[in-house]
Amino acid sequence: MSATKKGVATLNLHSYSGFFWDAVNNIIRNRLMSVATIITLIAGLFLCGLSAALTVNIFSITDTLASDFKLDIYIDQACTDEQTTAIGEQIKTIENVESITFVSKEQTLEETKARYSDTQIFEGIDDSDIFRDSYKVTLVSLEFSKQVTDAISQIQGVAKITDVNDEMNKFMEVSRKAQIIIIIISIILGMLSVLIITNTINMSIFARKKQINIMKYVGATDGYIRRPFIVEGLLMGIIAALFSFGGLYFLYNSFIEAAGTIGTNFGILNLRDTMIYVGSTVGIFGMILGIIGSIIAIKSHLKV
Amino acid sequence: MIKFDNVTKTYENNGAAATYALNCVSLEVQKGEFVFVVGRSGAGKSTLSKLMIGEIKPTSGNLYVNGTCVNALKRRQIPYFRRTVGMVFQDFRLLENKTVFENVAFAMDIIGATRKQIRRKVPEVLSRVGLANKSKRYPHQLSGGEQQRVAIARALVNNPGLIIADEPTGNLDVQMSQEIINMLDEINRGGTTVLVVTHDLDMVNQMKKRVIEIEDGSIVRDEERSGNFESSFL
Repeated sequence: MSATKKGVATLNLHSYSGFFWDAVNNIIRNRLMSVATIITLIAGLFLCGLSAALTVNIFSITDTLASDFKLDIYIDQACTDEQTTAIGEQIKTIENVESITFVSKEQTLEETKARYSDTQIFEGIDDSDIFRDSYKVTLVSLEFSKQVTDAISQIQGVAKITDVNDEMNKFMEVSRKAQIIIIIISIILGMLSVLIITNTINMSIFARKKQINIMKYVGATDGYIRRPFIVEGLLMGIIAALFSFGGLYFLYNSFIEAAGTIGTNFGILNLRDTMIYVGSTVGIFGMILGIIGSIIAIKSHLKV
Repeated sequence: MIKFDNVTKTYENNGAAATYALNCVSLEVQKGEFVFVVGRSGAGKSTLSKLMIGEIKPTSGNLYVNGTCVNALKRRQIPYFRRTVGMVFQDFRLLENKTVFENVAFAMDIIGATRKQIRRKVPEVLSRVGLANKSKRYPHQLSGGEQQRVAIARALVNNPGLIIADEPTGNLDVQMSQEIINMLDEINRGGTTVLVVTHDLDMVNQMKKRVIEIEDGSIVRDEERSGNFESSFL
């Protein structure tokens, strides 16, 4: 047999089942370190999954808000009923206004009481003067929001205009900040996870250093020797991904149920679709972190 | 089969003069030969065997094993080269968590042999070394001599053209040593080149094979043996 790659038969899959059980045995043998590694990974992947859930929901909620091209026009409380009606007529004539709906202050009081009926905030309050009459103005398209807002603000008697853009911008700003914080923590935990996996695999390699040397003398390639340790890292990544996915599933399910009791979901994505994104994210990152940690660990141990 | 062409191996000494582990060594071993390499501790015997399996590179000179220039091999080529040479070590170097069968099968597994090929070849090789009925035992359940026989089986299983045994009887008693050397002799009679690094002169004298003596990194003697071998390091 010559000293080249020629003559080597194709890879045997039965070796992989051997590597899998080797990896399982190693994880059990170093159980303390393995548990520490998996817990750290779970924390990192949990935040990673949370970030994914937040991102997809931001898009979903943004879409919902943007498709609801409404402005809320609040009428000065000093205006009479006739003046309020006249304001409505003026708004109808503005270009790019599709339709308007009048919401009286009495109606607003009733709706608010109904929304917060499980609390005592509005108990005993019957005076609708704490609210204003308003018009809900539907636009032809969100892009005309500024033009219509500017036109309406010229009308005398208009106290306040709430632009859905304002709400959306506020929401986006808060979400962006939350996202950035979660991503930073995820990255830190991710790096910590890689460090801990490296350490765990190092211990595993150290315990098998003699074995690795023997394998090298008998003619095992670096790739052959690396395989069981990579499988070990991968397995820990997958275990952590499963646990973090379970936690996120439970959390999001509870969140959905809570949002449902408020009476509206604001465009929150359903459980199934969200979990597809979350599951893919934690699964992929779990495997990547596991593999990276193993590769870093074994690199320095293969020189014989 | 083996050719050392003016091979020198030196080790640096932190600024002091370099140590010559081997100094301009040239030798040839033909296919099918049985050769003993003898010398005191530190003479350069281990350096010789390490060079032959590519564990270290010579400082100068070239070394050929079975037509391959070992010192020119890239790191990724070395595992493939080592599969053409069967190695037997003083400390057996068996995998403790694998059975006798698995230890031998492992050498076939790394070259990608099929399960069928392994199931056919391994029992055959274990029979040859007299361990067919102990294939399910673990190394710690075997005697020293039996462990070394497993190591020999592992060295043989891929039909190498060359077996290098580095102090194969170092950890064995007289009787087991005899068994092992007889086994290596039998392997050699089958056509495999065998090179035994040893300081067991009784064994060397008994076998009457070619003997190469190394002292202070140089070959001081290289002769076919027919009588008693006497050495300066006795």
